[in-house]
Amino acid sequence: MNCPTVDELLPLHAYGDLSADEAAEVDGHLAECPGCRAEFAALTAVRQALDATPPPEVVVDPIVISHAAIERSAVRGRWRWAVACGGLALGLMGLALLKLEVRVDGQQCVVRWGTPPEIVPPARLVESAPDTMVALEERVRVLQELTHALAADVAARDRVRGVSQVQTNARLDALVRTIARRFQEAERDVDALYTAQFRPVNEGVKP
Amino acid sequence: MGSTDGSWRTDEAAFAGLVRRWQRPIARFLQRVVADEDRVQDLCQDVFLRVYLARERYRETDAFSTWLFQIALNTARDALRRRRRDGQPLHTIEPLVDESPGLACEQRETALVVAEAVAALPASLREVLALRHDQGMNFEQISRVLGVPASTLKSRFATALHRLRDQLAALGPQLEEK
Repeated sequence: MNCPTVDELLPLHAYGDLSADEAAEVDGHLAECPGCRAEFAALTAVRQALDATPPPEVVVDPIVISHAAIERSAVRGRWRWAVACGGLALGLMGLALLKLEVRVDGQQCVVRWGTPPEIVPPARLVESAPDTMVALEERVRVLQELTHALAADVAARDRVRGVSQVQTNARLDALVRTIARRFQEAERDVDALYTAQFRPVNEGVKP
Repeated sequence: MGSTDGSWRTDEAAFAGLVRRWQRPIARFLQRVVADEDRVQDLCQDVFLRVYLARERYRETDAFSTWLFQIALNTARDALRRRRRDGQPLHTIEPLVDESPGLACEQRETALVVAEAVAALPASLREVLALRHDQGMNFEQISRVLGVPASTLKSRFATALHRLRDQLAALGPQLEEK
């Protein structure tokens, strides 16, 4: 063993905490090394010096302990009650704020919080369905009258359109006749002008 | 260290006997770890109050001394935390050993020097020193109290003793001469 290794073991050796083999090795080194011997003597002196401090004189009264324990238990009990009540109050306030609702209906348990959504009834596809045969017949009659009225309206419109068409045709015929008459008049005017212009030179021959 | 039966949990007289048996070792442990003589009496009372309140949780299969010193350790650490929180540094605390009666002047001086040197150690070193030197526990027992491996504790103990040797050499040369 060298000095650094022995130096680490000396505190344990001073208290007899080394194994027999280690202790023998350390003792062998101490017999040959004055420096480590001095260090071991100093550590042994420290061990003795630690006992120089007298232990404190204390007197613990078990009666005081049991009274203090009872008082502390009572205080703890009051605290537990206060904490439990406070927790319960906070919990109830929380539930109220959440608007929690727990309901058991038949075979289901409903847990709901917050404001429930507004229930909108499903829209009815047929607003007023006939409830009886009389109402049905009445509706059929109204529909028939409505159909007849529509048919009469269509017929009246057809008649008006027919009259208008006849008048338009008559105006077209008159216009055709006017155009034809004017064309004949224009043709006669052209012949007259031609005759007046060219008869003396080439009588009876058109260019 | 010895163990104890469980009668103290229900029998007030047995509890009083337990207090009488352990109050001095616990006071010594608190004196070393907390290094504040003024508070030892109150802290000792607090340790036994905790023992009394926790008596239902004690299992007889465990070593009583281990359980007791774990409670004392927690009490001491709480006291040190409170003192740190209050901003009172350790090294300003002067142990009151010089007021102990029945000690010769030289002994009182030595005791004061040693107490100051111990107070200057870190708490982790004071804990292992108190349990090994004062309570005579082996490192396996200390390991169960502190929840630290025995090899680490041996290293801490060696460090504590070396530091004390240096501290005492600096503070009290007369120790070297003796």
